[in-house]
Amino acid sequence: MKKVLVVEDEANIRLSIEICLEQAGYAVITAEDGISAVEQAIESKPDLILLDLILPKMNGYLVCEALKGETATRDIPVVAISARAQEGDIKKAREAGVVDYIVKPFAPEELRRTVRKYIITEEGKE
Amino acid sequence: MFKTLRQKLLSGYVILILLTILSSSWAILNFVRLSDALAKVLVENYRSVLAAENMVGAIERQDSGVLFYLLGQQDLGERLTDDYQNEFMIWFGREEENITVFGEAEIVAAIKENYNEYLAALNTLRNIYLSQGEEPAKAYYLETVYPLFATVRDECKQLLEINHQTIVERDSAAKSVAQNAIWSTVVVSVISIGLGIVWGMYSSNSIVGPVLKLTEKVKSIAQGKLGEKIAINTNDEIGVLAVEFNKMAQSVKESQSENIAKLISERRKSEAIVEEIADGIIVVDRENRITMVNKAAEQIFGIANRNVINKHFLEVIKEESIFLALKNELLTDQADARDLNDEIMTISKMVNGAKKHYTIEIARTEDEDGKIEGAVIVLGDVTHFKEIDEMKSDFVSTVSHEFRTPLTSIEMGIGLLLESGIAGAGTKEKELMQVVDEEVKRLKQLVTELLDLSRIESGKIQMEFKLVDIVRLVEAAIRPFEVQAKEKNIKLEMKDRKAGTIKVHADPDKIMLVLTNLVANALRYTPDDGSVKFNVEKAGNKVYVSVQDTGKGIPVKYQESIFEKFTQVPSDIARGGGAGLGLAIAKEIVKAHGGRIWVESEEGEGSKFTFTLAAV
Repeated sequence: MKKVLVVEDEANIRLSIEICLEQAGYAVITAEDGISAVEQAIESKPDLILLDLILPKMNGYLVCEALKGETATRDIPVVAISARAQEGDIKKAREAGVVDYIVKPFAPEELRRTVRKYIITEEGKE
Repeated sequence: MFKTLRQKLLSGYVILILLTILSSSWAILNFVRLSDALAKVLVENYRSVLAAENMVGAIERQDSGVLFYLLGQQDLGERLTDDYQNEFMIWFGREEENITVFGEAEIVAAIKENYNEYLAALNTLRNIYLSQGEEPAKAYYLETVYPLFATVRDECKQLLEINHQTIVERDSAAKSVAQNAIWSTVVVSVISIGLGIVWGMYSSNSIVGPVLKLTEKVKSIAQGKLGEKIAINTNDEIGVLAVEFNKMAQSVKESQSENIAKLISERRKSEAIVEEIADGIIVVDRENRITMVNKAAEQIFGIANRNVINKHFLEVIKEESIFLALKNELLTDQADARDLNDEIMTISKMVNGAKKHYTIEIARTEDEDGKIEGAVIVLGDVTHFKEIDEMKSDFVSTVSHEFRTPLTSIEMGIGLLLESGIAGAGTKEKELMQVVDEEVKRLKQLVTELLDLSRIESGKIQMEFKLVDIVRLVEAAIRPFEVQAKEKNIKLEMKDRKAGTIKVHADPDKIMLVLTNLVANALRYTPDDGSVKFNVEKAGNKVYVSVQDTGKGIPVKYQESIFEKFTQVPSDIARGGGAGLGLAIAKEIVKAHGGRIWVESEEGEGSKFTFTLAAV
């Protein structure tokens, strides 16, 4: 089963993402802030990371850079989720290394579609 | 002495005339005297001389006659004696009338007496000759006649002599008179000339002197020394002029000091204003050297007025952007109309530990001939506005962020519930959840539009202008709605046009938003079986894009206000959806493209929305 790390500081959103992904057949681990996000990523090596860009203590961009800096986590695809949708924010996120960007709020189907797009299975991309 | 200039001048002339008359009179007098003297000589003495000479001649002839008579020629002799007796008498008569010399009268009397005796003797001689014969006659002649003759003749000669003498004397006298006349005339002339010169100098000085003084004083007053008074004491016209001039100088001085005081006070006011103004002011000259900075400018740039005067702008204000704008302003030859799309230049600086924002305005100063003197740079403190602006966008960002967060949970939650269903949930429950889902989507749209509008309004959204095929863009905007239109059986038609593309200068994404909004509205407000017509037309340098529906129409009173935020036509047929921001955003976008957007509509006749873009 594929693992997805969800990094999101809002409990409610975390809950709905968790339920959505679990229903879709993924194992979900969650992190509330940037520091624990990096720790968890190193420890559990998820197949995809959903990263909220606005986080306490260490913002999403820095988390992304940190993840890309670590050999263990460098190759894990990161999808950014954020309430901000400016070109500037998107550009900044891409520069930090994200592969895609979902704008809140989103419907469950949109989330699932994006996750499917970037999780690589043994047989290649689904 | 003399009251007026006229009197002075006239007096001068009068005196000169008098002197001339004097000299002339003297000369005339002398001429007259000379003439008299000469006349005397000519008339008087000459006459006497002539008479005397002729008398001598006459009496000698008479004597010759007597001799002839004695010699036997009685006829001849008598004739001679008689003739020349007449002659003598004539000349004697003339002499008698011409007695002029002193002593001449006695001689004439003596001649008269002696001549009469001579004549008597002649008679006696004749008688003797006739009675006694030749010899006694001869004797008588020699005894009496000849001496008488000789006496008269000598007396005539005396006469001659005396007149001759007088002539000589009178000639001398005349010569003296002439000499005197010459000398005295010379003297009188010299005196006249002398007096004339003296008087001329005096009177001209008395006229010109004050005039020169006046001129000197006027010169020094013109140079600004208003305090000097003209001291002229005459009572004539020049004197009057001097008095009036003094008055004038005094009043000019007074009004000048009044004006100077006013000017100084005005200048102090202006300086105080400039000093205290909250905006920073920097004045530079033609060569970009600083001539003044006010207090605010000192604070902004951390400089002091006394240190920076005459230094070059860049030395003191190390802001390239301002310097470039300054150079631009000083170099342009005409007053260019500022391009309306030009952004107002702003800079930000840390001032006393706080970040402040300033607008930069530069205006050049010119002198009366239009020559550039320098420039004035004004830094307007817009920190407040900038902060408000930032607060506003921060606010909008924050708000939208704050909305989006719970909306995520709601959308996700409802979505998942709808997918998996709730045990025991009937159609009604399902319907409710769908409603919630739609409302969530509506809220989502609202938040996005709010954010967009806010950013467009504050000019934050950058338009990326490209060459766009507007017809293709319209077709692309219509496509996503085809399904929806089909569901309601609404025809979507593009009006027939000539073949060929129409290109416009536009930001395709933003115009797409406008089109999407118009199409969505058209579909929303058009009942089933209606139609929506699209038209793209080029006219002149504009392109007109229109969307026409067969809906209910919009009453005239709402036709302007629907483009405002949150305004919708109140109507129960209005299908849900939309928050009233769409048209407002569309308007802002079209405005940013330099175009216009408006609606033509009548109730019950449908509506036609048109907007314009710049054609290429």
